[in-house]
Amino acid sequence: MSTITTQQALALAPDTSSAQAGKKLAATKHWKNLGRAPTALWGECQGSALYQVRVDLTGMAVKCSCPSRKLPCKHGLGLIILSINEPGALPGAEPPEWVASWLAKRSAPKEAAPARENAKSPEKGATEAAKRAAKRQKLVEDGLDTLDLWLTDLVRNGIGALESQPASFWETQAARMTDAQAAGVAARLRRMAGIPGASDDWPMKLLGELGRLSLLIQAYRRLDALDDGLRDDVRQLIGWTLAQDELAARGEHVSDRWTVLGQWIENQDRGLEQRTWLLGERSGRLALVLQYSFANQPFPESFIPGSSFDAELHFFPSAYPLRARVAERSGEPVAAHERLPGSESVEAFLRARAEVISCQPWLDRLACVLRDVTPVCVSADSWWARDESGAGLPLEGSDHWRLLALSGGNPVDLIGEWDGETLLPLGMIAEGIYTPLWGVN
Amino acid sequence: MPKPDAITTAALIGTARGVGQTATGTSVDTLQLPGVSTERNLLLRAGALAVYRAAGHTPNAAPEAQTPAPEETKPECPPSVAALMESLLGARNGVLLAEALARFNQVGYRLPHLLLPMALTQAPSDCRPALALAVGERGRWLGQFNRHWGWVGETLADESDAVPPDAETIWEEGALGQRVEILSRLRKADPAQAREWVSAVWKREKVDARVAFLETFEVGLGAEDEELLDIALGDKTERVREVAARLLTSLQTSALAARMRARAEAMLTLKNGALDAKPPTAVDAEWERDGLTEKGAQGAGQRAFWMAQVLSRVPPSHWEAQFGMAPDKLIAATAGSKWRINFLESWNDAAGRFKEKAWAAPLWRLWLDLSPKELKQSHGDRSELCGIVAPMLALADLERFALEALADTKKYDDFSLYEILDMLPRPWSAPVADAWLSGARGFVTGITPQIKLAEPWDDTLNTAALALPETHFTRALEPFEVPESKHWQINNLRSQLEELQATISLRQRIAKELPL
Repeated sequence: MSTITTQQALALAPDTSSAQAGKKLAATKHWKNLGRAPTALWGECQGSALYQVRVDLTGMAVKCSCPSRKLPCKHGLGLIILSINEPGALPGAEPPEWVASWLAKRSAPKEAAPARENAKSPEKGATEAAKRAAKRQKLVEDGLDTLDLWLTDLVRNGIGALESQPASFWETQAARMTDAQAAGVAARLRRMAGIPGASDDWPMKLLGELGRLSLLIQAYRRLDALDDGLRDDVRQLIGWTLAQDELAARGEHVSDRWTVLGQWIENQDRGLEQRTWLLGERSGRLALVLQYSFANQPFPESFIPGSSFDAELHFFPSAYPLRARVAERSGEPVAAHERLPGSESVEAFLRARAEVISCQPWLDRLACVLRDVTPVCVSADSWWARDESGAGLPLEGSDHWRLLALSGGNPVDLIGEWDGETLLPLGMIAEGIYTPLWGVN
Repeated sequence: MPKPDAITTAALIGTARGVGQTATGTSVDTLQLPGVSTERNLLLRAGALAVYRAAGHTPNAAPEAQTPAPEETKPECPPSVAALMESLLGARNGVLLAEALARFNQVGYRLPHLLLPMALTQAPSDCRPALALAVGERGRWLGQFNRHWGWVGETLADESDAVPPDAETIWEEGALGQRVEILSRLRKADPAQAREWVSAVWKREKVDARVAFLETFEVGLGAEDEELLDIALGDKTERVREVAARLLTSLQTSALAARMRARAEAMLTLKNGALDAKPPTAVDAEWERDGLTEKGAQGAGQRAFWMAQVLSRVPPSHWEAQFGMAPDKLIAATAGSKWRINFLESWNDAAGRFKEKAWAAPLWRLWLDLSPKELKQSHGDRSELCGIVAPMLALADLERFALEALADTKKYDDFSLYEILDMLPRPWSAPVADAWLSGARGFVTGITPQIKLAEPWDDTLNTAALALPETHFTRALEPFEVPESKHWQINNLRSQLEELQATISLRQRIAKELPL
C-alpha cells in the first residue's frame, strides 16, 4: 500500500461528503476482522449493521455489503485510508471465504470470455443460459439481502424520520434493485417515495408497503415451499420476466370475445406504461395487458376502449392469472354491448377483490365494472362513486367533469381501477354509450 | 394525524428505542416467526396486517348524491353541428363563435353533454349569455359544481325580452347577473316598476350592484328617474357617481343638464353672425359634483379644456334653438374664433354622445375638408374625428365614401383603408363586397417583388373575413393567384390570404350547418 497516498485514496471518493466520512472511518475502533493479502484488503465495519468491506488492490475495486450506491462507499475509502495510515492494523492473512470468492469472481470473466466465440451449439447455449440464470439468481439474491438490511435499518431507526427524506432516498435504493435485476422490487420502492407525508395516515400505509415488500422477500427465499401459481407470482413480482415462448408453453390459453374495459397510461421511469383491462364475454375472465413505450414509440398492440375483439390470450402463470398477452386476434373489433356484466354494489366488488387477494396477496390494482353508481361531486377535489345502497368508493384525482356531465347526477355504469384507496375512473356507460375517461397521469 | 395503531407506533419510533406493544388484535398476532430479528418480525407482521386489511376492506358510506339535473327541453344538435361548435370553442375565436351561437340558439339546439365541460371552460366572456342557453339544462346544472362555471347560473334561461312570471322572486333571490337581466327587461316594459324595485333596495346593495342597476336606467330614461339619480349623484363611491352624472347629463329635463346648459351659454357669444367663446378662468366645486372631474393640461390649455368638457355635454341641437341657426351655419359661424377647433371637437363629441343625426353629415364633411394646418390643433386625426360621427351618418353616404376609397386607395390618404371599412356595418352590402373582392384580387394578381408592401390591402383582410356577406363566400374562396416569389412579404401575404379563406370556410360551414 505504500504506492498510494491518503490524498490519492481520497481522490477515489465520488464526492466530498464521502471523502470526509471515509476519513472518519479510518480508525481501528470502527473495524473488526481486518486483514490483508498481497492483492487485497478486507475488514468488517460497524455501521447501522456490520458491513463486509473488501478491496481488490489490482484495480482499486471496492465491494461493500452496505446499501450505499456510491462507489467506492465511505467504508471502502475508510479501509484504504486506514491501511495507509496504520499499515500494522491490517495483519497479513489468508483471505476468508467472503473475500476469496469475490476475488475469484472478479478474475473469472476474463477466463470465461473466449468460450463465447463458439457458443453456437445448443448444448453450450443451454449451459450458457443456465449460467446466466445462475448469475442473475445470485445478483437478485445479493440485492435482496442488502435490501433486507436496509429495511431492517429503517425499522430500527424509526420510519417517522422518512417524512423529511428527499425522493432520492428512495430512488437510490430503487436504482440498486434495478442493478440487481429486481425491477419489480425497484418499482415498489419508487411507489413508496410518494407515501410519506402525503396523507394523515401515511405511517400506516408506508409500514404496510414495507411489510408487504418484506413478505415478498421472505416468500422469494422460500420459493420451493410455495404452490406453483404463487411461485410464479413471486418470481414475476421480484422482476423475473417470462419469454414469449415460455409464456406460450406454460401460460393458460383462453379464446374468447374480449371487451376493452378501459386503459390508462402512466409515466414510468424512462417511458410510458399502458395498462389495458379486458373482460371475456363467455369466460367472464378479467385480463390485464401491459405495454411499454420508450422514446415516444407507439405501443405495439392497439386497443379501442369500449370495443370487443375475438382473440386467444395467454395468461401469465399465477395463483390468480390476470396479466395476459394477446397471442392471436381474429376479425375486426366491434362495438361492445350496451351494458356489461359487473358488480351490482361496492360491497360485491370488494368481496370479489378479497377472493383475489386470498390467492395473490400482493395484488395492487383490480379493474371493476360498477353497475348503477352515481358520481358525487362534494367539491372540486372530492369525488365519489355511490351505489344504490349508499356505499361508495372515493375517486382518484379531481377532473371528473366529463363523468358528471354525462351522468347528470343519475346512475351510470362506471369502469375503474381500484388500488385499495381510490378508484381511478377509466370509462363509463351512460344511456348505452361507452365513453372513455382516460389520460396520461 | 389520527392516532396510529400499536404496530405503526412501534415502527415510527424505531426498534432501537425498544419495542413496546405491537399486538394488532387480529389473527395476524397468531403468526409464528421463529428465529427472525425484532425488526423483521415487525415488518412481516405489518405486511400480513396490510394484506389482512386490504382483503377485509369494507365500503364507506358515500356522501349524499346531488339532485339530478332536470330533463332537457331542447333537442341535442346533430353530430356535424357538434363538431363545428367544438372546433369553434377550441379555436377560441370569439367572433365566429358568437355568430354560430346566435344561429345555434335561434334553431333551438343544445350542445351534447360530452362537450359541456369544454364549453363551460373555454367560453369567452362575451359569448357567455348565448352559451348559457346553448348548454341546456345539463350545462346550467353542471355550473353549480365548479366555481369557474358560476357564470352559467348568473344568466336567465332564455334570450328573449320577456319578463317571466317569477320576475320578482328572481329579483329578490337571484344572482347579481340574473337580477340585472330581469331589471333590464322590466325597464323596457315598465320603467316605473323597475325604478321602485331599485329605490327599495338602494341603500343596502353593494357597489357592483348599485353600478349595474343604475346602468339599466339608460333604457326608458325619464324625468321621474331624476330623484333616484340625484341620490346616486351623491353616492360615496366614484363609480356610482359617474354613472349617475352620465345619465343626468343625457336627461335633458334634469337640473344637472340645465346647469350644464347654463355653464355653456355663459361661455358662448354670437355677435354679427360670428360665434366666439369666453372659456372660464376658474371652476367651482359644483363642477366636480356634476361629473366634470377630468383634469386637463395646466396653463393656457386649461381654459380650452374646461370649455370642451362642458360643450361636449350639451346636445348640439340646443344651439340650433338657442341661436336659430342650422348645424352647417353654426359650424361656419365659428370661422373667425380663435377657439374654433375647440368648438368643432366638442360638438363632434356631443353629436356622438347624444346621437344627433342632423349634425353627422355637416361634421363629417367638415373633417374631410379641414386644412391640415387647422387639423393639427385638434386632439385627434382626421379618421378618428370622422369615426365618432360615422355611426350616425346615412348608410348611403358612408358606402359611397367607402366605394370611392376602394376604387382609388390613394384618394383619402389620411385614412387607412381598413379604418374606412371598419366604419361599415356588417355584413357588407353587395356593392362593397364586389368592390373589395375585385380590388383585392387585382392587387394580388398584379403584385411583383418590386411592390414590396402589400398595403393597404393586407390590413383589410381580417375585416373582410368577418364582413363579407354569405352571397360572396364562393367568390372569396376562389384561389388567389399570388405570384411565385421567395420574398417574405409576398409569402406573408399568401399566408394571410389562406387565413382569410379559412375563416370564410368556417363561416360557410356555420351558414350551412345552422341555416336560418
